[in-house]
Amino acid sequence: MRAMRPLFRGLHAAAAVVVTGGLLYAGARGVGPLPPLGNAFNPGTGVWTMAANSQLPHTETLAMNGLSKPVQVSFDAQGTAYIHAKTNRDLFIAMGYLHATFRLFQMDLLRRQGEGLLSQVVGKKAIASDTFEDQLGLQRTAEAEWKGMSRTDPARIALNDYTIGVNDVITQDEASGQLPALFKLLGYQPKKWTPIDSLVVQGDMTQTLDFTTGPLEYALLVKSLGYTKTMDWFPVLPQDTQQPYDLGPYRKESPAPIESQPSSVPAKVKQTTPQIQVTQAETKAVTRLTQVIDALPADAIHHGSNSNNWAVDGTKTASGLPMLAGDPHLSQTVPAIWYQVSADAPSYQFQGVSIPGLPLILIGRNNQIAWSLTNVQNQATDYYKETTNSTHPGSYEWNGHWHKMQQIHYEIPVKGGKAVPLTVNLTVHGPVMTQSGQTMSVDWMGALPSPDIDAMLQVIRAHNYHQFKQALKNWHAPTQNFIYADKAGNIGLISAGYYPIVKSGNPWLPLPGDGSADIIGTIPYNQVPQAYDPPSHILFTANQREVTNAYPYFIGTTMDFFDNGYRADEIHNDLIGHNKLTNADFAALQNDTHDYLASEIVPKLTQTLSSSHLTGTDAQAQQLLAHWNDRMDESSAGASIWWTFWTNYMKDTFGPWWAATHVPTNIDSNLALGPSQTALDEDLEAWTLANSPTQFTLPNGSPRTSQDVMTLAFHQTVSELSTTLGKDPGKWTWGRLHQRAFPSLAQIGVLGYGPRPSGGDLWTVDAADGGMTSTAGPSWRMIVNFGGQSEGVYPGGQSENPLSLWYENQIPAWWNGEYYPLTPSVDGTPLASWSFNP
Amino acid sequence: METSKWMWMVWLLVGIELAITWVGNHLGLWYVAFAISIANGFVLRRTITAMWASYIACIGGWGLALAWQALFAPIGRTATIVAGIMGLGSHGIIVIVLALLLPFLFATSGTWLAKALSRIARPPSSQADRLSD
Repeated sequence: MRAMRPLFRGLHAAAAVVVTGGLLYAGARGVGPLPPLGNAFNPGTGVWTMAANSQLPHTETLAMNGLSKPVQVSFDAQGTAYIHAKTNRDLFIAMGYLHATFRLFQMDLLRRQGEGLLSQVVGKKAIASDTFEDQLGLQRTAEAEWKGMSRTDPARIALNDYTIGVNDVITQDEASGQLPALFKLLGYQPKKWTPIDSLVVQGDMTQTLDFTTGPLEYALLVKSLGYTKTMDWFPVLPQDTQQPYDLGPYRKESPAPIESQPSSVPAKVKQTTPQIQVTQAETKAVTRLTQVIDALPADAIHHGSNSNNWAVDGTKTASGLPMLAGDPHLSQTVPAIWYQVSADAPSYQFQGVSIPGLPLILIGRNNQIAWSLTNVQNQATDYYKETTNSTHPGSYEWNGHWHKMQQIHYEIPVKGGKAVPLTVNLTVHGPVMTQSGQTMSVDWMGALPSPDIDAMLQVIRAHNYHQFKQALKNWHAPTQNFIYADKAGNIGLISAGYYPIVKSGNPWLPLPGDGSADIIGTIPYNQVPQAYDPPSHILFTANQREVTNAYPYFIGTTMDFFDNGYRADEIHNDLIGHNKLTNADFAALQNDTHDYLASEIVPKLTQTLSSSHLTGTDAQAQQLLAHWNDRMDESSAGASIWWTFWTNYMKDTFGPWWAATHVPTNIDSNLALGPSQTALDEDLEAWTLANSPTQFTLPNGSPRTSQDVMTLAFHQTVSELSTTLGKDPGKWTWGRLHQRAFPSLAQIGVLGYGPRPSGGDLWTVDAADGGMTSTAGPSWRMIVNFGGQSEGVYPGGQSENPLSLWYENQIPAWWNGEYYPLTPSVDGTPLASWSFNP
Repeated sequence: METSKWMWMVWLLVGIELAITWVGNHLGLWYVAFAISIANGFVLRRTITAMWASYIACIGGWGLALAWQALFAPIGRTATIVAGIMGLGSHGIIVIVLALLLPFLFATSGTWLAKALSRIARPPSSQADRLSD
């Protein structure tokens, strides 16, 4: 036994080494889903720093590298920052410093999303997203943009200065162990910021607003419904009048060249005979690609179409000076996409909202002009069916010759797993997105370098419409409706960006990649939709078609993805009907829950029902509708009946066709029947108002009238609501069906806000998008009054720290339709000031 | 050496170690707890003494630092948020317990490792075995 003692001691020591080594490893690297435990939980530099960092700023002097003169940053009680810089360079350094101080994790997440590096920190669940981004190539675009900037380019200089400010914070936080807690819990440190990262963040926004899947959906519909019915129900031009803001006259000119577009033999644009069939191989490719895109993070691609902006000149306002309003509708998250900031520097004086990662404001005002944006919704994404052949592996046929695809090799790093190799093939049209069945590439305007930052810097410095319009000449993507108002009394609107024109073919479907349907240019800048000081004294956009049906260029279809125009109708009616407008009037309109479509359809419905002998719950529900004010208020029972009715009405009308022709809603959720089908809303509206008896026969040929289907849908509605909300229609309030939620950007439940009952619907001015628990809507509400106070509010807070008082402090005001001043009051004392010395 | 004097020296040592652990953590050196426990295992002959010294230095170095911060910052709410992020619901207490369990484990394993290695280097006599164990 004694002889065995050394062995036991050895085993004992080995066990101690293994256990200690394991603990050290767990402390330094983490185990399984657990973060590095030592780094994450030690009381000095672990997650606990979140508590200390949640304290609001106090007045102090801080160090910041790179400054040439002292800079002062003041904060008001809501967290809005006011930068006072003596040089432009110092302004951008301070912008970077502020963004990184309050939103560093958000910035890192945004760049990772665009650079295809999410899997590196969250594991294999993000591989699909990373693959898609590497294919699409936001980083390639960003690198090309950066390479294309000269050393004296103001955008390049601003990006470099901004980067200094961001990296100041990263360096300081790393040295002091004060990085945001989510870095510690995910077990990584952010790499240093680069100007290309900023350009990738710009690409993220472009993708969200501009990358569309319309041709994929059309292909699936044509395969199911056939071409004729698809185009009848999802036509290029809408059934309803959408209050276009540019009424013409229009002039058709030759396409303007698109920068960086592959050279192609110019040809006369021609209409083609309709494509009747979608092949099996094409269907397979479209299906695969649709599945990939459907699996992307919710805000990677914006399917909705909800933003408003409007301006009125002095003849319509109480002050006699112009007013402007803007509320861009985006995915609503906490932290929000916006960071509010004001600045005063030699060349820049502005107030508005910026996106963390970008060195400027996108929406706001300077001392002379104000502007806001909505999405144009034009088709900026064309899909190409490449001709490939097994005898020419790795090649595609274009313009009668075989060309080698360019290949780019990636390795997607995966946390807790092996890196995934990825080869991206590039054709003359763009990246190949799938080779399942049919090789399909995508030509997306957002993939082309677009000097947006330079354009916005010029906008911020502009003092009149001429400068404003000139600044936006080089804005390529995402196409945006830039509304404008100035102190001098003018209003304007221009829909800047690229509108691709194809040589031939129907761009709403996947196009042949043989060279016959290539993009040959864009609508010339002078011919894009625009207006200046119109005789109506008002201008507005709400994602409706900007032009009348006489416009000589193709800009997109009803499905891809213009709004149905009901918000535009509402805004038009309100602005036309009022004079001596004030901030309160604009605020009321931005928060308006009046449903324009309901005001058209409900009288038809109640009229139809009046000929029926309704009893009991049906009769009560009818009475509620008859006395309803068409407002989607949280407390309204009529709102619940209307919305459920409209949903059923659509399903009853089109559902039999969807079932008979097997429309693949399981593959593409965007094809599911519901009020978000804007083209079908318009069809149904037209059918109901025109009272056409035969428009929507059943697949077996049986005719139906709109009254038949309305009556059926109404009874279904009452039955459905009785089951879900009880027998008393008076208690069927909209808030019991409909909620809003602001999920966390990192998709962590506990960090989100809501859900809570809410008013609004898809097409109220105060829009609520994303289903019965809406997660998209007004992401920022701004009112600029050149004769009074300018105001703004967004649903969130300035800090991404969930313990901070500024994490979600603006949500209550946003919810209640209240606003905060864009600039501090003259006698206002800042909450705190940071003084930075060089 | 007199027992009481020796005890004072052990307490002094533990106090210094606690301070080193505290400061180490604020420099991000969470593994200082290991190093101290290993040192205790080698320096303090009695295993029970070495263990207690390590526990006090490590758990104290972590726990007191947290308690001190809690006087000025919302440490409890931080724990609740972190629990939510980690999928533990709103049970912030689990995060606090985890934060204190770690120095306990570091102290235990560090001291154990030192004792195990020192026995290989210097096999104890039967008498010494009884005294130290």
